[in-house]
Amino acid sequence: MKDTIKLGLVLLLVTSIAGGILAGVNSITSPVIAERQRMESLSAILELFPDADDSVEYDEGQIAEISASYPSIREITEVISDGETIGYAITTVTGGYGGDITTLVGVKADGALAGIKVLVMSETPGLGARIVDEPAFAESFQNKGAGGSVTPSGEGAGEDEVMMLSGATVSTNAVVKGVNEALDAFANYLSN
Amino acid sequence: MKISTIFKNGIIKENPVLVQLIGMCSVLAITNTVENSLAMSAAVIAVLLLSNIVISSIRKLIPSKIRIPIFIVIIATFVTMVEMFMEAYAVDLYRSLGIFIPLIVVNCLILARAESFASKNGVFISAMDGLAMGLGYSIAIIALGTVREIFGSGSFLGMSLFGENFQAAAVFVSPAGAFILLGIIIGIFNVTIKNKATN
Amino acid sequence: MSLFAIMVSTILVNNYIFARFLGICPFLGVSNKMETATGMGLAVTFVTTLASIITYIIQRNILDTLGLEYLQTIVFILVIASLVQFVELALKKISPGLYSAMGVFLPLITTNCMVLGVAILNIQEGFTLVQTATNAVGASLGFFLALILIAALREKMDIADIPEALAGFPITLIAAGLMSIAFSGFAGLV
Repeated sequence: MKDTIKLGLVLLLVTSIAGGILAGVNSITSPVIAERQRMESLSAILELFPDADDSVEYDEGQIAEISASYPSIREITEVISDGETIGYAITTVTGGYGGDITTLVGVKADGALAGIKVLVMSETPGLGARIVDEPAFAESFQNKGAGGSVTPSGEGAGEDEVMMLSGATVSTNAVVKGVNEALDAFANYLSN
Repeated sequence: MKISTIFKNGIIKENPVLVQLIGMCSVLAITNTVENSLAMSAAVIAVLLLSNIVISSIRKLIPSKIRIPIFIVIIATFVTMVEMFMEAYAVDLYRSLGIFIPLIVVNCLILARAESFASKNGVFISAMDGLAMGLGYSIAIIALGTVREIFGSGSFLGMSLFGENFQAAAVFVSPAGAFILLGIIIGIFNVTIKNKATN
Repeated sequence: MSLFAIMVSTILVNNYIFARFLGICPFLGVSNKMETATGMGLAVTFVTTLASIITYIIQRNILDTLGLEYLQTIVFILVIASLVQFVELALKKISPGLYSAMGVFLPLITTNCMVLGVAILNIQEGFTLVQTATNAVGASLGFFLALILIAALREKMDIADIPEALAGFPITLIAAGLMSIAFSGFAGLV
């Protein structure tokens, strides 16, 4: 019994030393990581809202309230220019063909889309991956959705229509689902 | 033991990948490009070298009953450090290796060297063993990564080799290609280098 | 994701052996006979499920609340190692029959990267506790399926005429590759 306690203490000691060292390394690397993540999300937001000069992120409590009704929504950032809210950058995650698709949806203050940017996806190269590889797909979302939602159809030329990638229905629909949830959330929670 | 013997063991006679077949998960998973193979090699060599040095230098202080948990804690510490540095300073590699960075902890290669070598030998010789085994591992996965990237994507280190019209055989970058190629490479290794070395 | 989708996905579409390369060591090591494959499969299912649930609770209630996420790897592997020890002792006392079926495989499981891999992926995917348990069971069943399939093949290959250079592991790897191609036919099912 005495032996067991001694061995336990030795193991505890080793683990605490290890934990201490890791805490030290973490204090060096975590600010670097946090700064890089902030830059990454900001640069994506700047692509959608080139005029932005400030942003406010919603905290977890506020997100939880909204994602109760719109489960795809993970993050919301209010985009500000000259002290006025010019729109919202909403990160959605929806299920695609080869895994989850993370899309950043920019909704302007007037309810139309500023644009979208697919951030993370693992769709089939040459088919579903065209949601990233074909710039025309993301472009087809710009300034659509003022009517509250978008529908994929053909080249996406009509009002509130976006491009339907042939052979990539699942991927297209996944992105559109996230976009429409973002538009709904904007109309019901954010616009006032 | 002579240093040349240690290196010969690590690279040829007891090559961790081609002969002992340990640490296979990362070997198969991350060799789809040469860049990933190089990054994984660096990570594994770093962890193997550091854990061998630390374990051999405190080997007389470790109670033998709880040596395995202690080895695991030491290895996990170094793996986490490597992971943190990669996330901070080499985020692209961090993302493409993904879950296989923390999984270096359970790469049997590292625990096996701790248990069978570093816990019984001096610091310098254990460091050499770590380096030799790490090199053996690296050579195998870089070879696999080279073949898979050239045939599967038509490129080497991301540079296109054959021009626009090359139809890459995607099977080589898929999981299936990894299994089949590794099988063939081990077969070739068996009849050539290993046989010569043992005769 | 619905529980059924997680199940189908982990067993067939994203099989941990054939698509995600986790748990390859035991897959190659103990797949030469059906009997040992079954024992290993049982032991892995048991430990993976238990470990996933425990690590999930620790991550959400201790590491996340204290801001110690960076200790994840070290804590998880210690949990798994002690769990394996504990299960071994408990089985010996409670069910000697089950112990004799899977006892020898238990020590090997600590370094089975699937156990740690599933535990970490559960957290990364943001699963709930129920989804975590489902994912763990599915992953283990997928592992079990792969192990049994390849063991059945290897029993047949033992008596086949195989080129000397490819005998043993190389031909097993090639067979596993062909199996992986077959499994890729499930892509898009979920």
